Amino acid sequence: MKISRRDFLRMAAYAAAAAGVTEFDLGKLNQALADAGGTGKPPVLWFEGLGDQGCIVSTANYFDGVNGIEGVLLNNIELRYNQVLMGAAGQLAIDQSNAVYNGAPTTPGTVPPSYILILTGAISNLNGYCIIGQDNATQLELIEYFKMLEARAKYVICAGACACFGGVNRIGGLQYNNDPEALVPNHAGGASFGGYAVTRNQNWVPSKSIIIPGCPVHPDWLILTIVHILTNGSLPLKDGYLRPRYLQLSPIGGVPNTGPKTYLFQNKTGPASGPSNPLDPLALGTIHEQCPRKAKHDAGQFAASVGDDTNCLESVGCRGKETYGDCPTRGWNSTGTNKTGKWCNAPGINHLCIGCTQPMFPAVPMNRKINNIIP
Amino acid sequence: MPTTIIDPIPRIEGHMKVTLTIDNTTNGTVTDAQMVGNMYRGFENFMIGQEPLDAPLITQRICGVCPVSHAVAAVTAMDVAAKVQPTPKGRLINNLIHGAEFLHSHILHSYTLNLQDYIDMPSSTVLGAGTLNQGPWAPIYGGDRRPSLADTNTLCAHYVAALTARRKAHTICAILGGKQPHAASFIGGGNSATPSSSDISTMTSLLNDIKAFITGSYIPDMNLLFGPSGYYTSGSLPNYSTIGAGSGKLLSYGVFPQGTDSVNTCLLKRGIYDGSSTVLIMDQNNIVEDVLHAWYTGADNLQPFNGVTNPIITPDAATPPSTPNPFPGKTGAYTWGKAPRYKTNGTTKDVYEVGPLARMVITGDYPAQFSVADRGLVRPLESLKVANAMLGWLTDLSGMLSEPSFISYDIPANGIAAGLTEAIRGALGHWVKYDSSKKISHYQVITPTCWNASPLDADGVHGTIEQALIGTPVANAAQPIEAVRVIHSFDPCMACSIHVIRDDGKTISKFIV
Repeated sequence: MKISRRDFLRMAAYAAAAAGVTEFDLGKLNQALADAGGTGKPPVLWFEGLGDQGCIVSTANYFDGVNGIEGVLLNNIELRYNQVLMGAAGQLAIDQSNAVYNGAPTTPGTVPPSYILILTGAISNLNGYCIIGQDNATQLELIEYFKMLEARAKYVICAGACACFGGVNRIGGLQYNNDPEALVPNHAGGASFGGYAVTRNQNWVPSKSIIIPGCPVHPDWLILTIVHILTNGSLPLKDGYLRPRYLQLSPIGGVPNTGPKTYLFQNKTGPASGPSNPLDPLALGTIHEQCPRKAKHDAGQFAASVGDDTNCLESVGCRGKETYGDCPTRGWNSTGTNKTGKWCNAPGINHLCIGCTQPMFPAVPMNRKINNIIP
Repeated sequence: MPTTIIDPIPRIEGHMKVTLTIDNTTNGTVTDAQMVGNMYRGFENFMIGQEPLDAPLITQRICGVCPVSHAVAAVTAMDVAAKVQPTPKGRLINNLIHGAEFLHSHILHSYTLNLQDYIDMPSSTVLGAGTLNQGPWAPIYGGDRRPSLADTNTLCAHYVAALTARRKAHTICAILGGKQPHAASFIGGGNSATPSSSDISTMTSLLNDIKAFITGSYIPDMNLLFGPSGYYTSGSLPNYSTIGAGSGKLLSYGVFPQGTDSVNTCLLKRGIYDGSSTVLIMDQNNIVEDVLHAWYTGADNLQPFNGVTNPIITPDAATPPSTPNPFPGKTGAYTWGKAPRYKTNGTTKDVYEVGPLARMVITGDYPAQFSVADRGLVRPLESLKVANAMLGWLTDLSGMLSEPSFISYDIPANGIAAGLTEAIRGALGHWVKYDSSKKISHYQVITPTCWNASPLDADGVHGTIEQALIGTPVANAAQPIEAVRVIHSFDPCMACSIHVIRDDGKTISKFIV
């Protein structure tokens, strides 16, 4: 079947509808954080720590059928700092971030303007291992600078596995514990910001923070969470790991946190306890619960090796049972939705869910079944 | 003489700084340059003790722009260690995912990362006057922005179109790899994906869209800037076809094998350009690395199978230093990046440039010319070559949909292999050893930016980018846009370029990430 451009657009528009957002929604975002004297859009400061910029590249793939990332940047936020996308270099770049910070009220969010702070990549608590720039003669350690900016931010978003839980920086540390934060000592000191802050009594404020994991973060998860924040004037309801349980992108009658739910990280049928309680029968649940191969699993038909194009891959390391996310329903990279698109263990890809939205990621060896991983 | 520091350098991957010595604050010339990698991650250690099958998954996380290149290097090392050839269908799938990543990355570089250096985006009216006069597009270093308003508008429109084109390239990656960045399907012996005829049609349609962008916009746009009578290569202002030459020597490992001879069937060939002629031989035994000017201890002149590297400060996450010490003490050291060199005739250690210019010159598709402009011109040409090849590969793939995508094999005990390929920005190698229990015992990576952004080597010779910077004219030392253009022309990726150590502080790893 040849897919025409028209078909492609229709497919992508369906993806947007499935996510509960429309062009109209994006166009009429309220300006709860509006910078009164400036562009009328909320300033966003986005820093990358120990990471690979994959989350920034992934976010650039945002497409809702009408708007790409350019629409978000032109119409919805003012991205004042992002090392991959910004024009400014050197002191000129640091000045932008400093200006947003200095222009914000010391008590965050009481009076506009305030800003959204995004972290991708892990922080390093070792001096000299992650210098993000230089402010006049002073080298800026990411962690010190980020802590300063965090104090005045209205919302703090940690995006991607590294910023949320430590990500690949955790390999070699404690792999299978139920530790929600990456407190694992490792040679580069990589850890999540929350993990760093909690252990050292730093100014980490969970109530204004949200984490959106994934390796990388799905562009919809990040952008639509920002849409939720802007349309509701508040963060979405979070699970025990501070992940968004679901988004409500179209408040009914302008009442915050009403309207249809777009489920992200929410229990459906189980486990009975865990960070995503309570159970919600309408939720998508784990990757496994959405998987087209679930019937094979239930019938006891398991793959002998990765690459099996039919049977359940749990036997060779698929982490779908322990992993929350809407990958099968949402699809990746505009390939289709409702299990017609692509994701890691999709039919036709035949690989494994490696659990990239969970605190235990990456539970190595990834190509083997491991018991007692706690979701 | 004034010293200018640019930190951060934006629109690259990773954390990078440059320290420039410029002989005059206005209309000066760069007389010295130090490229500084400012981030240190822990990949190399992660790999020791891991299972080989996990290597493609873990090492992709080195780089979010070119993860597939790392996956290809990792599975190539696996296949070579096991002496197994991927299935023909698996080879095609790997090439298609990798090819799509080439298209994504070249377009990303030339437009999203690089274009702002050359056009005054805030003045553009194509999206409405003033719409681009805000973050992330403004402010930006001043300096000469030569294109007319009409051409600026055209280029800004193409900046937006480029976002779409590269997103479509990622869709192709995902159709065969599950998602992108960080594809799933690289398993060794081929690929786990079993694409359908519908997938082939979708990819062909997307690829034709991208190809139309390359021929209709990308090639003409880069010609407008860098072609024979381009804005930056003619007239009275500095001519970028004479700026940023670098070492004048080129190296490529070769990429996109199209037959069972994985070296000599590459679409983009393996070889070197030694300064006077192209030789289609590149012997990885002649690659060595120096650490004299990097924040590591250890010997210089080590081949990557034998390399030993220790950072100058011993990481201790449990008790971080109480006083900031961002300059780990080692006299003469200034970066977390090492200095790879190639022994041209087996003995003479020379500085080589890697990247699309190297591949296209060595393949015979571009003259041996070295400048900022040539690097700008060669990317769309290589993109077109890859896109055309991909259309052929899709046709080939459509004829073998029912054939096996991969061949299963056992990981050999005590295996050893170098997985060599090309990332978009240049030569990428994974040097791997397995122990008797079939676990990884040695994993070293040399990335393209290690080559290009390398510091002084043990002989006191600058790396390619540092050489390219020295001599660059700078109109305003406070905002050296000219230096940024030279650095960007190499498409550097610092996330890929820093080595690491084990936390026992002894064994090494060297991983450049």
